[in-house]
Amino acid sequence: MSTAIAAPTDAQAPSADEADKPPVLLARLWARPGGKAALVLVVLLVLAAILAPVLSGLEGQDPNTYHDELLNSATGGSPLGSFGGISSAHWLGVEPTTGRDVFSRLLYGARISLMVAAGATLGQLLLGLLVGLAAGLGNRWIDGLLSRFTDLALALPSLFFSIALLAVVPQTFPRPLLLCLILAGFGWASTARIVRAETLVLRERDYVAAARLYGASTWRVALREILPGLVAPVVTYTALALPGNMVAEAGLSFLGLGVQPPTPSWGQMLSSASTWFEVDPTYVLVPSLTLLLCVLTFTGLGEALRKAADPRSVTR
Amino acid sequence: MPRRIRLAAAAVGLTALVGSLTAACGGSSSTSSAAAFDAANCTGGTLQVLDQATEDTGLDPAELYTSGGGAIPRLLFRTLTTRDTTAGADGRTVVPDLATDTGEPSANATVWTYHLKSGLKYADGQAITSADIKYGVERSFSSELAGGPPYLRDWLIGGETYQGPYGANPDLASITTPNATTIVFHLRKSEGDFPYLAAETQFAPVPKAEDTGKNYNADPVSSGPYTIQNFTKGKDLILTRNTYWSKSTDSQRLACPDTIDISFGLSATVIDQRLAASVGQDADAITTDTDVDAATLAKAAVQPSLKARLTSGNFPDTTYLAFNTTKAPFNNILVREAFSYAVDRTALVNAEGGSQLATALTTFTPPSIGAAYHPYDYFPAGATGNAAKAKQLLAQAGYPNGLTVQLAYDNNDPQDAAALQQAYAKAGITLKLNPIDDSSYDSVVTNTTTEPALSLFGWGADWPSGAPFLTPIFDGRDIVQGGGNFNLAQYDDPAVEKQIDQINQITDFTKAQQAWGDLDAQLGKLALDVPLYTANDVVLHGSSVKNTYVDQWRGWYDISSVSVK
Repeated sequence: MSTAIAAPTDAQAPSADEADKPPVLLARLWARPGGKAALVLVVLLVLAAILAPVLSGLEGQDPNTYHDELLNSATGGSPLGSFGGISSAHWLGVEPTTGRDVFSRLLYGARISLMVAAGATLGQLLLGLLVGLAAGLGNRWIDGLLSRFTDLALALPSLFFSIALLAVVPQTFPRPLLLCLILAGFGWASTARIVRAETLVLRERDYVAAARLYGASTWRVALREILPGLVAPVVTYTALALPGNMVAEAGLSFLGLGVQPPTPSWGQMLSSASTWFEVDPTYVLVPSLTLLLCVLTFTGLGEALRKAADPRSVTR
Repeated sequence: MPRRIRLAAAAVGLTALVGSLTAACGGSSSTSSAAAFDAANCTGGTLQVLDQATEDTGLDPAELYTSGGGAIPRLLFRTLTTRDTTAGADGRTVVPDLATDTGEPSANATVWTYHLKSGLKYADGQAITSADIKYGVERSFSSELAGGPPYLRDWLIGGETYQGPYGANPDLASITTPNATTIVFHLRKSEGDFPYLAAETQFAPVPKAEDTGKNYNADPVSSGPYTIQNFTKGKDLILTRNTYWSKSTDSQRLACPDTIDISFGLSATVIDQRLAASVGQDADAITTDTDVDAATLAKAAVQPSLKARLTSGNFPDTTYLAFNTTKAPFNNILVREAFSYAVDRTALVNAEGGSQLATALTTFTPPSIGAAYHPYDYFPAGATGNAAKAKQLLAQAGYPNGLTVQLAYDNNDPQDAAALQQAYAKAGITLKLNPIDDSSYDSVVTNTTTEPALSLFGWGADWPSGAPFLTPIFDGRDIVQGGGNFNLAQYDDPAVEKQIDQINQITDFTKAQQAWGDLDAQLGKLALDVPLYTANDVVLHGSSVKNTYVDQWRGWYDISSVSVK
């Protein structure tokens, strides 16, 4: 990353191909104030999730220990003290009815949230690239078939199908993987459309025609000539899809279809907090605001990437 | 064979109840509305009922599985006996309803005779006869009307082969009706608890001429204070007065509201929030099947007006950790004892919503069952578990480095499993969580071939007595191969079976309960399960509803007593 940051923003108007190379893209991103802020926040969030055990250790807590002594059993097991039991030992308070530390659960929940969102987005990306490239480069039969298939996938009521699938698959199947597969399986179609459209434009370019004249195979054309040109739009779209997947995961967990307890997840925290909003608002606000911040940050990053990749907005 | 229930029980002065079923005073102290309730001047208005139940199988007295006649069914169906309509411990006693007394037993309690009161009429003006009650019981044997409790088939002579009144042999000879007001039941074994069973809806009269078989559930003939005006299954039920019902023959139903409007299929959260807000029609509302949640209790703690509308009561039930003693490592009593010592009941009670909603339990029978509760604590775990003692027992059992086992639980209720997991970790026991889907949980756990080694289960009594509480769980003859087995320990001891038979011959209810309590205290030593807690029922009602109390037989509002005037 440091090399990318150090790379000079060239004064010459870059050719489209040059501008779309990742290091240049990153450098342009860094040059924008919004991009800089989003990038820093994303790195911090990812670090917080990776370092969840270390940070919980700093606080002196872990996500699964019950603290009955911090609850008032006579009033429904609500946390003792104000603001959901916030104290020097429990930085964001404790969970009602169990007394588990909210700060630790939030950090460990971030792991599930980011992991599933990243996995699902990656899955969407790979499937979308594969279908989009094949449709864009194949003959009209292949294109027609794959495009109708993409339309079909877009038309599916994905939420209902996700709920049904999550309820049907046995509990023994690893839940985070299942969530990734389902979110990817229902979310690849828009990526495929974008990739197909870009491919149809790129394949008419002179350098692609030249490669074909030299006798390059379709595979080679796809990998060496078309794919590099897809980086900018695809990276941008992916960065915008990630927060969507994050919200989808939280939604499914909220419905009780996500990872199983005691593994913490934000959706689950929101779900169990929903009845407590009047008596323990802290418990509701903490996971809600964290999710909001995360989604905003990733959306901001995507938006900044989109602007950085747009040749018309190049700052000279 | 009572149901798996999460219903209710406890907070009422636990120790005061011990051995005092009949002695306990029946003083009603539960009216929580501001204006005084006057039973002589309570009629009028429309009561709203907000329920989770969908009632999409209808209201056929043969198909209903109730405890003590249920809430709404009891407004439509009168039975030979019924529960005493009063607050406090007396609500657990059985009293006559259609009959003049609770039954005359023969010396060994195998023949039970009932005489009907005079002047009993259906909602269409016809007289109720003993033949109608016999017909009602006979219908419940028909396979197309299955669903009720299984006791009748087990108890009545010829019950195991009888196929109901629609087939080739329509008559069940073990029920005789010498005249229009007398009915006699001949049992194949002694059953001192027969009057308690006679409170269930299978003992409601059904006029043979009006029987529409499978379709009877949409519009049954009423013998109670109300009759069906409009019934949309899964949606709502509107009840209006049965003009032929008379208070002079019915001392157990006040029937204050003129109309009762019941909404089905609401979510628990919606019911709680509507009752708490108590706006408009909801001020006249109650629920017959929804407890408040923990957050509402926390809110009530700082809101006296809400707290005044909370009512609590008991349903005798137990949530416990069930060992399959035919499977390792639970065939070893030392392991079972270690699990009993290591349990953290405080975490479980809090996970259920704190001390108002659950009470820790070290006995299988809960205190709310009355005289059949004999306190014992053979493996004292203290409030939060004795991990050191558990480790020592595990070492003795050959597990010096602890052990790993799977815990099966209903995935709709993960909070207990998570609480157990963290407590057992302290004793070196790793619980691997095995969530099973709610829809198949019972069928997996109660099937002897698929029963896990360790599972979370609950048990509630069909009537407040030790018999339906202990027999299905500990009688070896009740180990049903295939599905529907509730003896989860698969415990089979002929000496205990003989003891059970002897207790069933006792017709003095209090003496019988003492004997059941002794049996529970004796079985407790074997650590066949770990009793965890008994759930308490805390319910909310709208601000204009009067004479609300939770009946101690079922742990829900007695809908036949409340008033909205």
